[in-house]
Amino acid sequence: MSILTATDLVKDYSGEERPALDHVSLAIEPGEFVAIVGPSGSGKSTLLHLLGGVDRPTSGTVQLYDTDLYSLNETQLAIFRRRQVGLIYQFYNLIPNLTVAENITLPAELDGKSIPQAELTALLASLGLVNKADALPSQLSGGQQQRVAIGRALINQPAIVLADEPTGNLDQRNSQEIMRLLHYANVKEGQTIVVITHDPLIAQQASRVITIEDGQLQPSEG
Amino acid sequence: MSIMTKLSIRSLRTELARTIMTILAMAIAATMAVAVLVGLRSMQISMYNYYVKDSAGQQVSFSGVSRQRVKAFRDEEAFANTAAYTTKNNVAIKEIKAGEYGADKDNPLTQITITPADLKLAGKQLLVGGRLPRKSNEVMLSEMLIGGDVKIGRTITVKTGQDTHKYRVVGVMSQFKGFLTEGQIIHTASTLPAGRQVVMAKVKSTRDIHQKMPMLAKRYGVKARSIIYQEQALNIIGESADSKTKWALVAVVVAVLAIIGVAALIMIYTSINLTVKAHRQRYGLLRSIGTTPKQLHHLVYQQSLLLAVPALILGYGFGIGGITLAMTSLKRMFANHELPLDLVLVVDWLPLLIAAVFMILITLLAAARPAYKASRVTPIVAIRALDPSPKLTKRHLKSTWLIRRVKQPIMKLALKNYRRSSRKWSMLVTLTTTVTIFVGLTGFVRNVLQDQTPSYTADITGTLQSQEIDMQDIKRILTEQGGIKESQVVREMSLMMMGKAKKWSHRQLWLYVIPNDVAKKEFNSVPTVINGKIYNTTADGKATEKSLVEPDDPRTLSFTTENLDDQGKQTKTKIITTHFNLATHESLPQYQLILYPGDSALVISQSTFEKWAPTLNVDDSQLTYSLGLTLKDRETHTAFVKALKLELGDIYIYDQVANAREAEATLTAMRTGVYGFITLLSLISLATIINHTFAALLEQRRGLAILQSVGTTAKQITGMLSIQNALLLTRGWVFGSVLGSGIARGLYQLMSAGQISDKSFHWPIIEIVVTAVALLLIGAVFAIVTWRMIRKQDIDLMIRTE
Repeated sequence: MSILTATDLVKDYSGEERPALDHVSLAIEPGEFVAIVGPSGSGKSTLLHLLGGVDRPTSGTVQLYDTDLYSLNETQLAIFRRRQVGLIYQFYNLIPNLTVAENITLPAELDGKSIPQAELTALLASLGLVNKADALPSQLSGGQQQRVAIGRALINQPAIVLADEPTGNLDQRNSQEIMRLLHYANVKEGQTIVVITHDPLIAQQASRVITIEDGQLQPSEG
Repeated sequence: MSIMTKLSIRSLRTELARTIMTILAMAIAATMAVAVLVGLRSMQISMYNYYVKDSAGQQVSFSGVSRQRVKAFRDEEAFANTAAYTTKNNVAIKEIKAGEYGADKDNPLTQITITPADLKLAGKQLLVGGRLPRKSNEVMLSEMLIGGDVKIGRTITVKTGQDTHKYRVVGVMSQFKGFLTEGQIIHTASTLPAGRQVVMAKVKSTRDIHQKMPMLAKRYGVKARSIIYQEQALNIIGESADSKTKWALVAVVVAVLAIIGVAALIMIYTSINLTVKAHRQRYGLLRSIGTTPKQLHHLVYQQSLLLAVPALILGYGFGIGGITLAMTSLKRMFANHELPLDLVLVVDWLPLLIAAVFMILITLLAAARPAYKASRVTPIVAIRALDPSPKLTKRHLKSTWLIRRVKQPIMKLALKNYRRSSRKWSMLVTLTTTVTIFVGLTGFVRNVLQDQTPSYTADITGTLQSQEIDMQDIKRILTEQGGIKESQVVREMSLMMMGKAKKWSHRQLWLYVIPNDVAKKEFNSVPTVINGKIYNTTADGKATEKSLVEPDDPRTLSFTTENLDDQGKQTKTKIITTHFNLATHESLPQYQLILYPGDSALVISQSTFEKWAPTLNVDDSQLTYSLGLTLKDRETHTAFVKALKLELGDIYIYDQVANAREAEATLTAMRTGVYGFITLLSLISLATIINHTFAALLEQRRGLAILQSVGTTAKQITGMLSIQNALLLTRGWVFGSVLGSGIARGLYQLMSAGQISDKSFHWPIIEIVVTAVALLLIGAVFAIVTWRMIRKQDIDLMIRTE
């Protein structure tokens, strides 16, 4: 059974000649590592946002397990996102006035959960941030900030992690480190991951590559 | 501490400039609420103290308390102190002659007997002259009884039925203060005579006094109708029998708070809204990681309330500090003006609590819409960092005549930016409203509170109706007092003008009767009119002012008297017609001492009066002595009045020096209060403008960095923004000044309702100039801040990260 199923997704932006997404359907299986590639403006970010319940489609459905995301109201959707979706952005999007540890535990705390210190330390260790637990994002390098964002995405052990160009703002070494972490989560924890990327090297590391052009999925090459 | 609380506090701490700006904006509102509430409460208590002093702090009197129960009654827990006395009615003083006050058998006098200790407690404030009686053969008399042989130091015979007692007069008491004025003669005894007593009491708490006292009295067999309250004082604190007063006080507080509330609401809303707008992307991010709309809603409320706490503390400090300063200076001024009102600063829990509740309510109200907006932010905002694209029509993009002619590129850019800015309208409305409020209200208040009341040239004026005394006696007594620079004494009565001339018909005119020799010397014995003014209102509501006798008017005058019989009906009198000479106030300075500015009088000799008296159906006894004098040293006015009272007890004295000073002090107190209120109100609006201006600057930072990156210098950017700002401030100032002036004029017209002539309105030029200076200052500060910000900002960082 697919973990995530998108059916006939259409996203229209007012003023645009053609839809950003044009009747897109796809299914993602549990434990998959999927890369979505495509040129700028092809609709890959839009697709990711719709898969994560961040934006609403003009038509079509997205089902995560048995839940139709867009049948939920705003509050239910927020709680669903909090528990079932981990989001990673290109520009990290950390809260600048929360420490590394606080940023990572934020989704859990929003849910009223308290993360045991041992669990947090283990996560920080896996991210290579043990010594940075009390640092503010502004005191970290780009790679470190992205690792914090990965920690935040994983803290609630979501059903799926969606990463939008997670290495787009990083150098080669940091990019590899981020990909290593995502692979680790995928392989060791069985975490389903969807990554958007321009980088063919990154895409190569995925178990499946989906290509999108002009808002439509292209036939797979392999 | 929850993560949302932590996030609230961290956000506030890391964005210190914005936080401080919002706290200051809120603090101004809190200052205003605290200052107004504490000020009103202090004024209320000061006024209460002023009135309750008349009854030595006692608020209630119970008559008919039986001798057996007096002690237990006076020991009641509800009372802070008490005093008791007995009364004896139908008393007469042998030395008072027929026709004088106190000689009328239909209105006999009342004598009070009280212990020396109780008199000291409850009667000290009554003393006008002399001292309180200490021995049983001493009395204190009402000032109305003083005159002739009845004065301090003399022995009088008091008759009650067949009993007669001789007493030495040692004191003179006011007839108008407190409960003891029930009697006109007060003497002391160590034990009160048999019979029921009157108990006066100071209660520990005045709350619901009208409900509690009758219940208490009932337990001691005292009827509710036998209770007299110090209503004048109780009225001030809303505890009088008339519940309307209480609601009127509440209405005043609510109205004032409503005005502050609206201004504060706009300002706090602006501050919170600007913060929410600046945090849209953050909210989007929080939403994308699972924050619910409700949690964001709470976040905004929480942050707003967190800011309200230090703002309230600052408000308490500034408000109480400010009102203390204002009251200290008013107190000093009142003391200099010999005003007996002792201002006390009262900082009790109620105004502080109301201010706190008010601030919380206003903050919650102000935060409601921004909180709703925050909760509506979609998660996608976090990713796209959407800048709302400006909604510009072709008209906006078209260059105006001015833009086409301006050659200087920075000025051209500034003009284009200004024309295309959508934000300018809300700024312009706020600015215009602020200037309108300040110019309109201050201009109106300055006109209303200008001292327009003409005053006597005399320092002391007085009237006396007595058959026992003649003009020579009065002049002699005045001379004996010493210290007089100029004086004038006439005998007067009121006349009613008659005749065909409509403007004279049924108008009042003073008749001054002077000795024959003086009339011969000053007026050649010809009746003379001292020409005053007639004030009328035209059909369209305009006030007009004319002389009583215009140059073309005939020099013949008809009049009658306003004689009333015992039933208050006009008695039949005939009309007298006489020729007269005309004189002005200025030509007769000695009469200005007794004649109020603008009033008119007909001056005649004693013999003319005697000739007219039968026709007018009046006699000599209906003439009242009217005197006016100036003192060599005005500061001696109080002592002079006191000494004159002791000589001429039933004289009505008007201490014009004290009156003028009281009026001036009251006016200054009102000005201080009203100007303070308006200034704070304007300050709130001004803070909104400053908030808007600097928030706009912060929002433009990225755009400005781009301009810098293409080679625009910091000086050029500062110049461009200053031009944009100057255009906005000038427009707001012009619109606000015009509107404010119109409002000031309109309100003045509405309030004067034809009572005040056009000439007395002053256009609010000072206010307009003050506003211009304030706006110039804001413009200058803005330019400096812009310059510093532009020079310090990291262009690369701004362009990359935002």
